[in-house]
Amino acid sequence: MKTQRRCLISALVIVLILAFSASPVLAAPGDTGNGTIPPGLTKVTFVHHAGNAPDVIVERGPGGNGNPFVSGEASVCSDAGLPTCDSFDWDGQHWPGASVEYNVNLKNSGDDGGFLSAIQPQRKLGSTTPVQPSQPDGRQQRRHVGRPK
Amino acid sequence: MDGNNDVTWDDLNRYQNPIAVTVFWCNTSTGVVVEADLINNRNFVWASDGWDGSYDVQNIDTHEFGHFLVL
Repeated sequence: MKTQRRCLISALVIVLILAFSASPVLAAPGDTGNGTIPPGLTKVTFVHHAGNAPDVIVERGPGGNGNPFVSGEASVCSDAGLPTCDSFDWDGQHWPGASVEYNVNLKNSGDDGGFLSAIQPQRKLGSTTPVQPSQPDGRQQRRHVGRPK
Repeated sequence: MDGNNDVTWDDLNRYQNPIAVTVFWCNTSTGVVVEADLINNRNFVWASDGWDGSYDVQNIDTHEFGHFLVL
């Protein structure tokens, strides 16, 4: 009887260990799981308000070389394919783009059709001064998300 | 970003209460979209039977799925 109870407890412990160690989701390549944008990836957010074209927010992860401040210009956002900006110039100032958020208008749209290759920076959210490193890794705090005024 | 393409309903007040938000992540070098999520605003009235005064799920989400494809 005592042996049976030990076996039962052992089996139960094994089942519990397996249950808690099994991962129900296989992480995709580049998934950090902590809300940050992995290096080399761009996060694009479409925010749809009723009756309006969307706000499009483009956020860049750190550049492929691991440096979050990779050089680039706003104009290269219109390169074929997807946004390729690492940073952009806005209002005569240079904005490091690794963690910069900005709204864009889709160029050829009455609604919000068209391709992202046609996006242009519309305005910078929040501060009117260039991004300055404010954290140890050089990233800027995320800014307010909202519609352009 | 969790490795899944999610379609869900949630409170979107953090985006100033839009109808829906679509997010995708892409590899800037290759152009590959590695994940896309769609969040409908649960603060709105939704229906799939054309009920007056509601937002139609198929209508809105078909539009949003276009953004999954970078449209």
